[in-house]
Amino acid sequence: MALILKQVFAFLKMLNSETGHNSLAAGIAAGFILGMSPALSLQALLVFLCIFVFRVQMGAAFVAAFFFKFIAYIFDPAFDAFGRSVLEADSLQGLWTRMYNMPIVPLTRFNNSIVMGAGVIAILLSPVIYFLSLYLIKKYRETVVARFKSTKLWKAVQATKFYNWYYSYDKYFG
Amino acid sequence: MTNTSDNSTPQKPVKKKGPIRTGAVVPSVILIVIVGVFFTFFFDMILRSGIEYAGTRIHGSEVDVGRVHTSILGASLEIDRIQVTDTEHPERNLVQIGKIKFGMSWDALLRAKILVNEAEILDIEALNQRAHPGHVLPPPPPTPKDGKPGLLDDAEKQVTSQTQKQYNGNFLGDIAGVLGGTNYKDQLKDIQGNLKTDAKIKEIEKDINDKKVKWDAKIKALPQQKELQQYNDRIKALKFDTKNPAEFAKNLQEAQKIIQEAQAKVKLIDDTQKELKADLAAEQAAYKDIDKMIQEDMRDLQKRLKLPSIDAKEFSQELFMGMLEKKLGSMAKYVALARHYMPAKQTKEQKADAKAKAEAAAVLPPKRGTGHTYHFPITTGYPLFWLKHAAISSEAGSSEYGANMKGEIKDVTTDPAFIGKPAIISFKGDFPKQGIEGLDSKITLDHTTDTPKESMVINIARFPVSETKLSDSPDVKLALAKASGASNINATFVNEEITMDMKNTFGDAKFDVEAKNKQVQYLIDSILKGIPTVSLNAEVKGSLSNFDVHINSNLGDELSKGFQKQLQAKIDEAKGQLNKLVNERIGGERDKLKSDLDKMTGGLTKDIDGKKGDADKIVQQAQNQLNGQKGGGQKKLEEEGKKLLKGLGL
Repeated sequence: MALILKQVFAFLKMLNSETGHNSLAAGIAAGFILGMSPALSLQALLVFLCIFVFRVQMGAAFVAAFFFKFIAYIFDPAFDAFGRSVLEADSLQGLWTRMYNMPIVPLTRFNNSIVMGAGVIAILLSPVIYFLSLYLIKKYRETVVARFKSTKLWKAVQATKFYNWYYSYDKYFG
Repeated sequence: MTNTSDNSTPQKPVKKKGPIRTGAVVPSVILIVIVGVFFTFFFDMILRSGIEYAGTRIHGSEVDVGRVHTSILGASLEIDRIQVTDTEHPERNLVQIGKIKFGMSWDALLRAKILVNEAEILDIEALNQRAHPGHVLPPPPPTPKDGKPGLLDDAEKQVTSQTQKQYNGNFLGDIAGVLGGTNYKDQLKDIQGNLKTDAKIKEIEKDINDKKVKWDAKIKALPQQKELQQYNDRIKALKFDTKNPAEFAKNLQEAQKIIQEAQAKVKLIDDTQKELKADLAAEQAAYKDIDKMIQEDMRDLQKRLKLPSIDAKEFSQELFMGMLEKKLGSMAKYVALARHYMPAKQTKEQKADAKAKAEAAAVLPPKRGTGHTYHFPITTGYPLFWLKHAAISSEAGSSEYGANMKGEIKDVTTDPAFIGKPAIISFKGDFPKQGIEGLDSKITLDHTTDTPKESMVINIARFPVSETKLSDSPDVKLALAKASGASNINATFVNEEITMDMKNTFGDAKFDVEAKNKQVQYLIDSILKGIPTVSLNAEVKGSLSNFDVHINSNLGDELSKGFQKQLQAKIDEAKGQLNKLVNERIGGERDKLKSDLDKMTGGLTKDIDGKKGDADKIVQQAQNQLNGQKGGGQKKLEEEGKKLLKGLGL
């Protein structure tokens, strides 16, 4: 839990800094895939592994997964319907039968309508989410963060001893 | 306000970070090391404990495993030194297996299935001494009324509840009691409480009284003679005037209607008569059951007086039922276990039931996030577990308890219908140093269809028999101390039906006899001296919840013959006294009941038969009257017709 909170704070800090927009956007895209996936499955573990191995902002991924989980919950009937249409498609029956009889592949639970529907939609939309997040982060930094930093309140806070102490602490131990 | 931190210290050049999180390497390595350490040092230990626990629970006494070694990369499993405690003699093992090697298929493991293409079972020993006595599990506590018994307990109890009805553990003690001169007259005086027959007689008496009231009322409600006579009178009142054919026809119709009404009343009487006679016949049958109940009461009293039977068949049954019970109980237990873990193909009813449940579940909206799981045809799948072939091989060699054995286990699986082959376990061999020779066994578990079938053929040419209790009562203890046995068991289970044929001989038999009464000790000793070889043949047939057992043994025959001379007179005397007691207690009541029943039967039969006779008579009279009128009228009409034709010159 402490690790997750630390990652969430790091996400907020990075969001308000001037660097790491790519890793933040990648984190949100990965969190989108995780959040859309209805249960623990092999592909969810793979995404976890990617988040861990690649320089993807973990806090962004966790926050996004948490957020998209609620969205996905609302869209479950749509994922179910889409998954059913994919799994019942005549032209794909051979492929599904083959995959069903392959080792490891059944562990992805691809034969479940919601897993299939949510998985396909999440994978197709993840690049869109990545570029959209990238654009929104940049816009946020240019408008909201820059404007906030130029306010008198922020300048007053920066002038306090507490801020200076925190800045130094964060620089050396944060 | 100045930003003190921005310009005071020179900025270090920021090293550009690559896409791989190098900081994750150490945690990943730690994780891999932890998993590696777990599988190297702990997994085998946990698996070993799991096998020991499950084995002990299934077998009922301690099962130990010396070593378990798994190889993840090699997909193999080795289990060393499996010791199965002999429940009867916990200081020794029933069987010990030196090594079992399993080679599994990676293709199946990647599908989360276990396929063992080839296994080896090596170095089998039997009846070897344990380093410490094995722990024997206590018998399971009685199942609470609302609780569900365990699978194994249930199977065993189903058998024991049948066998225990058929034998009495204190059989020889009861015989000793009779020979010791038990005074039955005194005991009979002390017998209190009601006999079953008493209650039955009272029940029939009450029934007779109730029925008498009921039938009296019913007979009273039937049409009375006056009412029936009215039909006759109504017919008489009709005028059959041939000069007026229209009126003649009308009255004829009316008369027929009246007769039909009268016949309906007669039918009512007829039906009531039939119903009454059936009811009376049922009462007579209930009365006849009293004789059976008297026999039951006699048997109960014999039990209460501990009066033994000296029938040869019962002797054999009493002596050997305990031995057979253990064999049947453990067989039923293992069959239940096999059927649980290797389930047979579902029957049509089971499939329909499952389908109905699935459909009922489908009517309810699925839980959010559950979705629908599709199943595609399995083309290259495996059952959850499949042991294709295991070779059993053992050489006695230098081991004191070793076996010369060869055999195989084939197609043990969790889904026999899927592979379509029965599981077969067969082995042949000897345990030379333990004196077990000519062991030849074949066990077939056919669960490929919706009718599970298990068959077992076991032959043992020679095996040593150690202390086997045949009767263990405070007054008499009889045990087969030592013998050389030979056995042939042929058993089949089909669904719930069991058929078993067992033939045993125990040569060079030595007995342990211990009786408080010297006469009994002498008698049993002298009988046993003449029996060097004991034969034991048993047949079991029927369903698991209700089977018949026939046990035949020369030991039973000889003991029965030996005791007969001494006991017959005493038993006959005691039985005579019992008979007298029962007759005294219920004879009067029975006679009274018989008289009441006859009286009621006679009275009611007379009433209803009288009514029926009267009714038939009246209807017959009415019919005759109508026929007379009809006949006369018809003749007159014909004559008148002829006259008319004459008048016309024809």
